[in-house]
Amino acid sequence: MLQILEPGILTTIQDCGRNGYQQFGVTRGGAMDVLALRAANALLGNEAGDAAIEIASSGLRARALEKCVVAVAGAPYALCVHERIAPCNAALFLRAGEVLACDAPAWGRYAYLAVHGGFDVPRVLGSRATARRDGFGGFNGRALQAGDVLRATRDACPMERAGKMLSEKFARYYSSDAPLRVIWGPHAEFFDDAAREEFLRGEYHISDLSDRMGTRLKGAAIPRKEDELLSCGVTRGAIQIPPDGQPIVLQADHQTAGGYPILATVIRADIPRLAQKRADELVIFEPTTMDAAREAWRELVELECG
Amino acid sequence: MGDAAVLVELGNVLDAALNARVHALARRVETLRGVTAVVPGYTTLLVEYDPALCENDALRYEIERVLSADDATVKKETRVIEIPVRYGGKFGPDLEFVARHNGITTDEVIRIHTHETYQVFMLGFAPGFPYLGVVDSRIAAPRLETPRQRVPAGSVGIAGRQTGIYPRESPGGWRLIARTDVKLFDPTQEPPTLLRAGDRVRFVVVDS
Repeated sequence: MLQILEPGILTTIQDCGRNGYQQFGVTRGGAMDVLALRAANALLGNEAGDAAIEIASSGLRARALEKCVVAVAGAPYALCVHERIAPCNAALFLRAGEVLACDAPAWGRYAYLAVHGGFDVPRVLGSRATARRDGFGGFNGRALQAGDVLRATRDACPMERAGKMLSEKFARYYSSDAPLRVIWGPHAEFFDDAAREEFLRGEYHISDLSDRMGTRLKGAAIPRKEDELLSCGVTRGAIQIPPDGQPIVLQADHQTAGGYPILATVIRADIPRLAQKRADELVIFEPTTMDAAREAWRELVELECG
Repeated sequence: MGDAAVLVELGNVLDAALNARVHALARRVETLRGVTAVVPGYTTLLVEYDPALCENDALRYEIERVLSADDATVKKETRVIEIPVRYGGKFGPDLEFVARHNGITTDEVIRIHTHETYQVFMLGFAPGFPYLGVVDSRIAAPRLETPRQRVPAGSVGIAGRQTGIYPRESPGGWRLIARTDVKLFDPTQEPPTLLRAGDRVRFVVVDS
């Protein structure tokens, strides 16, 4: 059982999101960095999609109300357990009454604090993810606040997990400055070859307007046809080009449909790396194939297991 | 669209019959192995899938097969749902604008808006928000230049030749002509929305 002392900003309960409700206009939601969520769960022997606390850039302080083993994975927040420095990307033992403090990470934005069996909040529409904009799911449909008390779905304290760490390979995935891989389409008719070349040549910086709905990019404007597009369903990672030509990559809380043409879509395996980038960090893109994307996802899933 | 979704395009013009084919396709595709979500658009169907359960090529092949199968065998009853509304005044602050814009009276706007039975082309923007069409050209109206910060829940708006209902308070740029007390989205219900894509909707005036 954890009691939130200082919640930080926009700290929410997230899992892998809701499947199948987009046709009703309900966002998929879920963790911004699914790899880090899965890794935190793997450290405790949880199911990959169990619900964890998503810490979003500003830290967190929480007290263990009884002894427990927790895991924190993702952006390397500076962790302290009762004033002792503790490693990130590891499972940590907390005695009853001890305070876990997570402060400014050296890089990145999101980390996941997992407990045994995941946090016990009600499933709404098949998921425990917080749909903050719509006020449901997670902990009472809102970001965490000081005083909130969160329970794990399992009582047992898995002592044998304490001290387990993720491999170096996990952190190396994020330090790569390789281009983000994309698959072209579907709205090819809105863009000519020159637009595609501009996009691949372009150096884009993350805008500070980025949020859980989308990563906004600043850089060379992508020329596109002026035509109207009838709204269509959109998926995470899709790169929309609004009339000003500045790309928006759709993220976890994206609206289910959009009316801006989509130039390309970032492959699933590269989305966590993008989600962790901060304002003004650089991104570049390169095209890839469906086969390469499948292989990249397979490699990614291996990372979480150490 | 990326490595876990396919966008099926059935056309590119706003048309009720074409849109109805999208919904028929959605019902059949959502049961295919590996499909995790279907999202109908005006003329398109987005199909999200789990690449661990089905491959892109195989899914495309399956969708093609469904498309070429005889649609006529699926005769699904279309629901018609009545939405009680109050027009004008504080319930519809743009009713006068829509009338003036089209050179008719507010009563004529109400008569024309309630006369049509609209098709739910798709849900989107917010949970349970129905994109309804097609609006009679005599009451069509452009969006606001600057969207409102707060549109009250239940507001009925017009944008071009579409009409829609805001399920909850949100920002919005449609011209508001009426309001309803009906609840369009409830996450504790299954399904969570009053309306489904493919339903038909009629607006009925209630006394204030």
